[in-house]
Amino acid sequence: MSVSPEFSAMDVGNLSYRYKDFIIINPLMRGGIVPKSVTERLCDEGWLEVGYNLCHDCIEGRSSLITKPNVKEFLSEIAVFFGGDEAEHTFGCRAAQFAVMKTISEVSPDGVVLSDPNSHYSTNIAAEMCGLKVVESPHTGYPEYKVEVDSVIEKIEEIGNPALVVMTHADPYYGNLAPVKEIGKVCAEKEIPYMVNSAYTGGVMPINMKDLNADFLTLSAHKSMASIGPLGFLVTTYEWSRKVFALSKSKPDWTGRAFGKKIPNVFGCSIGGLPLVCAMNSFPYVKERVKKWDEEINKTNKFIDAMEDLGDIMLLGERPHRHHLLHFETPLFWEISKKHRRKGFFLAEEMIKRGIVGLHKGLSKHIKLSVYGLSDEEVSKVLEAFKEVAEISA
Amino acid sequence: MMIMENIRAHLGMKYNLVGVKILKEKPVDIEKPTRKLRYCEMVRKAANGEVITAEHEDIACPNAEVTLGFVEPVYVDIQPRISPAETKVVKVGPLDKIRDPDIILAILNPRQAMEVASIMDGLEAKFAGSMAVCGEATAKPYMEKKSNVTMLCGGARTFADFRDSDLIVGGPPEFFEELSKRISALSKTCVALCGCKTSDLSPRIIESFRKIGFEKGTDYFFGKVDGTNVRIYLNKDTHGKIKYITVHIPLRGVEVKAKEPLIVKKRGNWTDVAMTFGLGEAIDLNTGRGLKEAIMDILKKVSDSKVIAR
Repeated sequence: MSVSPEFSAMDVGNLSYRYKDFIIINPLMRGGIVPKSVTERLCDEGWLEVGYNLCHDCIEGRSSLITKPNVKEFLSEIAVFFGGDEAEHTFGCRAAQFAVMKTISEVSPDGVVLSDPNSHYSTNIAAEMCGLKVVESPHTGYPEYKVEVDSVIEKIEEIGNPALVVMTHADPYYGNLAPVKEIGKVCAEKEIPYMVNSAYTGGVMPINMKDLNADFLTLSAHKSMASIGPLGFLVTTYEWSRKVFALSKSKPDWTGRAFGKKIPNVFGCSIGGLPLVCAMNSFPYVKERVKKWDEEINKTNKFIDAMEDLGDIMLLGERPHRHHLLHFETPLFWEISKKHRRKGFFLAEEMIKRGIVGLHKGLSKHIKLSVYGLSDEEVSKVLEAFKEVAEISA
Repeated sequence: MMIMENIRAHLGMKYNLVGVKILKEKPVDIEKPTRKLRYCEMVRKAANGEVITAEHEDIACPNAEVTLGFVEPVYVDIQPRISPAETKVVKVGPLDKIRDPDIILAILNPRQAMEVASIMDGLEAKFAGSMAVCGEATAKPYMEKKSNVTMLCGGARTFADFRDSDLIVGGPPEFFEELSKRISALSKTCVALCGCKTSDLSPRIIESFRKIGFEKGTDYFFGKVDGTNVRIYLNKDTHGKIKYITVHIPLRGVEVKAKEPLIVKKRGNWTDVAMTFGLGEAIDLNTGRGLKEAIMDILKKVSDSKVIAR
């Protein structure tokens, strides 16, 4: 079958990217913005030409063992950078969480996972896939929704030592930082396996899992490590790596084949391809930018004040805020939406008209956004746009 | 047709929705069935994808001749039936193949009917176990312009191979359009910020607050009382059961002094004046009984305590 070189994206519908050169304020995306120099290099060097681009020089039969380019060394660097002993790349943070849950389910079948109440849904799905029951510790409720150490300890005691404690380092709802260090200390004392989901923090702020007493650190390259996705990492200690990264032992009865280099918990060979090459290229940039975390937080808190100056808008979550993910309640915009012909959609659409994308379409009572990594000029533009939209009379 | 796909996908329906057209004039060209059929057989075939157009002479069941309005009853009246009897042709087929149907039929199991009832805030059902597909599911909704549920009849189960678990909801197109609209709304308004529900507050509780002017936020309610922003949070115990109610008044950029039982909490440049109390017997969140009174009592306490804004 020959394919015309004139094959157009239009053949499968309009595939043009509508938001090129927009300012992105979606909090899921800000930490994953790929540096321009990296995207240019990936295009120039031809990494986009084939899906299996990393596999040309694979000798050992698993992507994490490839040395040209040096994936093996890169994963060692990832482990060291986050204070762990070993790392494997995964199909996103959720796959890293799955690997942990699977391991725990083998160690403690029918075990109970204690999770913070602001966890990402993928934590619950990973547990569900592995037959583990999730129990939550309460948060403090409106308006801060904080996770407090005492309530976690109470739950640990109530359960009678769970099979795993999971804390979401920065939660996806309010951008609160959980007391991961204090809870890690409790888990270490009680010898409870401890996982920190740092999808929203690993790669934007400094993290050392040894300081947190964490046994597992799960990461998202496309959320927080300036990479395209899907890609995640699981970093662990030597105590756990032999279990979680255990090699395949299966041997089908008829052919007698074996897959001894593959790691079942990461689906054998977690291929990687373009996302992994991208993350490797971005890593030097990531290592540098985490040093500027305090500057980012100062900028974020100033932005919060400026947003609240616009009118009936208030940040939910802890104050001062210690993460870039922001969740505002916005009755100001909701009032406009009630009379606007586009109802709740007006807000995201008006922002798009002003070159700013990332608000959840249809929502006006609440918005989540981030200005992480934006220049002062860009932050001013975002604020100005919100101000203009707030002045719309429906 | 989007309506059919939407409803089938949501309910997990095995069969097509069936569109029924009652024609009082015979079209020029019609493709007649090769043998006489019972109306319930026609519906069953339509649910599986066939389009069937039948005149009086093609109908095998004498009861259906009357209920569908081909003829008037001779000795005793039969109900329900299409009256006056002016029907010349009945056309049935999958909904996407019947233009402007008069009636739509959905073959459901009890679980699916339960979901429809839940979505539509109830379903009326009047059935007697006879003349079911033609009378109870088609003629009755046709005449009354509203839906009906039928548990089918012996004829339908014997001759048209309806299963023991099948029942039919018949109704005018407006009923199914509304059902489809509500199904779409369900999937769009799951209180989601990123595709996950943020609370398990029941629709009744949400309605109770809405009645007194409070709108649901994520897992709390917001509104204004005499121009003051008021937020209400329903606190759960450690096992997730709603036990308390907290009324918050968030104030920005002011210092506040207030007496117990009010709690004053600083949060950056915000000060929250709040009061938490047990739900007890005075408030029924499901009906809203006592809710407004309780909120007003607390707001009075705030004002009596002379909250000082500096």
